[in-house]
Amino acid sequence: MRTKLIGLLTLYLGVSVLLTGCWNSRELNDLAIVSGIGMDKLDDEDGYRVTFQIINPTSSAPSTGASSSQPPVMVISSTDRTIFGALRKASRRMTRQLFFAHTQLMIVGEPLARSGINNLFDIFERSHELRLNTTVLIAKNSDAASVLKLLTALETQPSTGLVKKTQNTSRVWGENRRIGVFEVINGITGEGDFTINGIQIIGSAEEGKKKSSLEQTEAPAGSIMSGLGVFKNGKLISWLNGPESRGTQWLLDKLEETSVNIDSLDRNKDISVNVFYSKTSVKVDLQEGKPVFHIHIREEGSINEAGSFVDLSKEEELEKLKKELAEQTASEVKMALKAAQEKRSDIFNFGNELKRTHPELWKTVKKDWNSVFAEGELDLQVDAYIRGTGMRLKPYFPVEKRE
Amino acid sequence: MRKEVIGPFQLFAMIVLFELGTAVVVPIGLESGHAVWISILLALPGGILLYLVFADLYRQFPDLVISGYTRKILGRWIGWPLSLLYLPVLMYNGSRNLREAGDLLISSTYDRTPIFIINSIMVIAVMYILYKGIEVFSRTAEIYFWLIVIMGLVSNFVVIISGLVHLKNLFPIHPGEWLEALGSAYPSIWIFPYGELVCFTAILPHFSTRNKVKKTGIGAIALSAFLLSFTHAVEMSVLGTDIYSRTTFPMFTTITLVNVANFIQRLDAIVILTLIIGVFFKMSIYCYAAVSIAADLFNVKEPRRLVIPVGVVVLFSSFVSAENYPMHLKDGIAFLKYILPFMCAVIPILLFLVHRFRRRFGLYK
Amino acid sequence: MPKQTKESKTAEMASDKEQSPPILENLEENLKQIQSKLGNSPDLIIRNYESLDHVNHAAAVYINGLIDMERVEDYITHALSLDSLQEKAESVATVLERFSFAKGKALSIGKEKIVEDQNSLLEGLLSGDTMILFQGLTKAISVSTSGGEGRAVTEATTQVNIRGPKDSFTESLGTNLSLVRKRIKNPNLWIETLTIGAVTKTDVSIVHIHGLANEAMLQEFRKKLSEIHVDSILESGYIEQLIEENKYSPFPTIFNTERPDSVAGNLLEGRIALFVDGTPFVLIAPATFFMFFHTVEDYYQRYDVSSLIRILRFMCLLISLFGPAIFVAALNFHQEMIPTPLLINLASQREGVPFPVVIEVLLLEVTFEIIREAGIRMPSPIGQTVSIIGGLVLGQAAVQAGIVSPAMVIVVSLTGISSFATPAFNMALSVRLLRFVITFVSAYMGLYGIAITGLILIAHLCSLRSLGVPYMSPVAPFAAGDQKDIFLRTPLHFMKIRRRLVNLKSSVPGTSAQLRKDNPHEN
Repeated sequence: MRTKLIGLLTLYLGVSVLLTGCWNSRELNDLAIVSGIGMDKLDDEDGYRVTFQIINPTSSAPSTGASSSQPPVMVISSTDRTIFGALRKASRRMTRQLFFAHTQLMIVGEPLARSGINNLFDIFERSHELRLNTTVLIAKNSDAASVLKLLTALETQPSTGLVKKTQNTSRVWGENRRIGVFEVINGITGEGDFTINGIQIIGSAEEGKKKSSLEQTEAPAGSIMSGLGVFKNGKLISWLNGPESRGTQWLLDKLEETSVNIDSLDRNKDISVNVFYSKTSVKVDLQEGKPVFHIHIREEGSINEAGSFVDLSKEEELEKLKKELAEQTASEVKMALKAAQEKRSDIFNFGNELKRTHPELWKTVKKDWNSVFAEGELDLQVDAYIRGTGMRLKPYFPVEKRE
Repeated sequence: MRKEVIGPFQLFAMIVLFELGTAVVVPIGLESGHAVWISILLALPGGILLYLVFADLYRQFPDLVISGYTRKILGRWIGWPLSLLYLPVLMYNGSRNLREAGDLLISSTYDRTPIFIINSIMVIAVMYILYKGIEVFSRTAEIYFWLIVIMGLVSNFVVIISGLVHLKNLFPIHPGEWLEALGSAYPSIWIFPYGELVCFTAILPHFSTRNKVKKTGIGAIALSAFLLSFTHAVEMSVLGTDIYSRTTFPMFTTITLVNVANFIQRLDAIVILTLIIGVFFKMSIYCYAAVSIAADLFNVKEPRRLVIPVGVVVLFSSFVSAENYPMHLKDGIAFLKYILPFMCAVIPILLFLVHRFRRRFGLYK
Repeated sequence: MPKQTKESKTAEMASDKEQSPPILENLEENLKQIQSKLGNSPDLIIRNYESLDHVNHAAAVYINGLIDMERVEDYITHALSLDSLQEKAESVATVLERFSFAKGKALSIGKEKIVEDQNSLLEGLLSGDTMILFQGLTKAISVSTSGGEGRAVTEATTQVNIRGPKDSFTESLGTNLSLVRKRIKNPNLWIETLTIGAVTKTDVSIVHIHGLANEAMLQEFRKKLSEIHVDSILESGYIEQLIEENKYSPFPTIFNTERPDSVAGNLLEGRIALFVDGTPFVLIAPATFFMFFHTVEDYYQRYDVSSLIRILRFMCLLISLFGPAIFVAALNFHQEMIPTPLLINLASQREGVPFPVVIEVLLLEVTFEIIREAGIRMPSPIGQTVSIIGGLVLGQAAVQAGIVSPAMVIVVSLTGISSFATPAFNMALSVRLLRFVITFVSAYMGLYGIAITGLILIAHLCSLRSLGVPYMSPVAPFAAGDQKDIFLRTPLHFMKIRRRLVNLKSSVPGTSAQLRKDNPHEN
């Protein structure tokens, strides 16, 4: 009796499970893996044009990649008032369901960025497929779709290529840093403003779509990381370039490694220092209603190239170079701060810092922080150290030759 | 039948798994902002004191579950109905844990699977293990204790080495925030998760070494408090107050940010496993407590026969009780505020005091 | 050697004994009855000896093939033959005198006893004894002459090792017992023999070290054996299945081995061994889960190497249990867990594969099982060919034909190979069985299904007991002191305390404190 009952129960459960099937099971052949998303503004109506860069597995895999005639990715667009709506609408053009767990990149076109991006990111928080560490880029001077359509040499996946480009340049050059959705959301919710990396198309965007563009040594089109977009109230207001951009990374303590050219005795910027360590500490306080930013930067570098004669075996020469390095750093930091203060946009988290350390002071300036920030004074101290000089102390060219 | 016994380490493992249970995955003590990890530690002494009350009652009545000594202390006419109140509370709380697990699973991966299926699979596992008895359950807990420890170490390690921890998000703590931390520690964190240990009044009668009950319990509670505090501190330092307070499952969000060398990433599975294991043990203990109290109240000789009814009630109340997750959270706040303190703290302390009083004045026959 | 032959306690046997007819005085009649009871089998040999006075007839009866012909010829024939009796003719005038002379003096053979009823006479005959019957006496002398053809002690075939003794058990109970006794030269090695099986009357021997094995456990073991009522015991597997506590569990709760050193080691840990006549596989109880992943060689090799190998075995256990299931779960449910380049790779491999992943897994797993099974049953030279054709050719062709993806072949072969890393074959079989279950569950519920199945599986393992010892000990219940020899094999000088859960009390090896006082034992 008892065993019969248990048997029946098992049978019932087994049958019910088998009949109802596997709800969330999806075969890989039924998924279209989206590697990048592009967001653009529609000219005439509200809503977005969302562009999806979809991986074509047969021509991306190592075993078959080169031989296949198809490009490694395909790009489709669809329009809707929400991103989710757009991705579901895209099904009208897709044979497979779009799958977002491997999306690494989100590009926002400049027009959309200028009109405000604050409410783009909710789906990244809410969805379990989209990731908070997706890299965000702003397509400078173009729409996002054309950036997503470019093919890249070396990397089979253009989106992976762009993400790697961001990582690579932030690691060795330092004008950009890795900025993901998570950081953007923190920037939006925190006090003050934030910045996002820009990417710019160089060459012909039309040519860059073709697979044949990769068959030349010099691709007719490509993309380049260019500067930082400054966002105020969620709207792109200006671009920081070159030293301003690098100064921003210094102020944010995000500089990993960079190369700084400093003056030698007689010529301008012909000694290259590789800064491989930099640490910035920030303290903000209010003095008579005006904020004072106490910045202390400690950096370490090594001489990697000398374009004119320096005798690095001499202590005073090194001291001079150290001073030069510190001055150069300070000037870039000042440029960055000045640029931000002109725009009345606190992109350096100074507001957050003040709020964290002195909540009661913060309350007094909270309302018009932007203008208070613009008045702020910089108390900058840079400690530069030169740790290495490479394999030589003196360059091979003698002192005489330098005239 | 031989009486089932559990050893000190088994009790230790069960308490730790029970305490971590859901508390490690869901946000707790929201009122205290970024000082939540301090609140958890502040609530620890209260939790330990409460446990000592349970332990003392156990030492006075080593063979009885809570409903048994309630009747001894307060008399049959008050004690029986009062103990009866425990049944719905325990089962409802068990079903709440189940609901939370089901909801995280659905919102993280199984978005197309009905919650009924997810929850019933879990309940089947719980019924199976309870059917095998408390001894088997405690041994399983021992094994999973190590698993949880290993997974905790791994996930904390990867979060730390991927450079996500920003201590700025934790410090400084201003004087006002200490007060807020204290405010969320008592009573909310004191009751959840520490007060919930009232379930162990049903398990302690099986404990083998009576004189180790205090040491084991305090050790386990302290360890779980530190683990909880540490985990929530890590979550807070990674996410920041804003995202932490908005996310439904901060631990899940934290782990999705991990990326070590572009290879170790998307370790969501660890969080999901932690949650499944935690909820499984917590719910089993709730169900076990409900089963043994019911068996005691209704004089059922073979408590195992109650496992299936209790499991089915828990299963159905898990998705019938609230329409959606926000409603579930709302119910939870009210439940935590009004009902749980009464059942977890007031009644046991009352029992403790009345017992002392009656013994002091020789009021027992 | 305290050997007591007990009668099997089956009801049938008991009734047999009551009706057992006595041995008749008439020798001729006796011999006829024996012949008819054995169905006039040609292998029953009766040798008549006639005395000089033509009165004192005697006969030696034995079954050809079960006896050691040399012994029978040397001792019995010689002792009973005319010549030797003639010399002492005057002293053996009566039958009785002759009987006691033969028993006491003439038979210079190790073991003999007197039987008085026909049933024990037949039993003796069938176990290889030679019976000597006398005209006019109602008893017979049973002389142990068992021998006959048997396999020599050879190398172990199923539990091979690199370093360590090369001998293994044979089908002969006596040889097997001697192999163990040679290793443990200690009077406390106690052996008791009983007969199980109403028809086969198989000899089985319970072996334990007195003082190390737990008395209560031994009692329970004896009780279980005495409760067996079957006709036949052809292999120790019969007994294993009949005395297991948890008959519906997929996991074996009794260990078996064909290595004498393994038996000796387990006896020294306080376990009980059961030798069954006719099989080289010796049962060992109580068994714990972790025992099945240890080999004796772990103790012969250096501790660091052994520890690593043990960890490797547990990893293999996990792979062979969960490998395909995790693969299915990742591919069907949790694609986000796979690193992007790998996912693209897998996706491109799966393009054009016509089956869902789970069908693909099952297809390959079943193929693998077919190859394995076919390879085992084949004579060994062909077995090699089968595995090569099956493994290489079939796998390669299936991939090229686009029926399965290459990654799947890798996963399935890895799981297959991992399952061979479990030293105990019966445990590997259980794991293989469960792998299919877990793969199915995973195809329905993904990781959640795996996690819940894992929970139920571990709960099940924790609920098992072998002779009262929890199966998962010493991990659950946790015994800190015993962890030295579970996942790791710590240096031998660390293992100073005897394993706790098996003999249920700790003690220090090298002392005789635990051994009984009347059995002084020196180490």
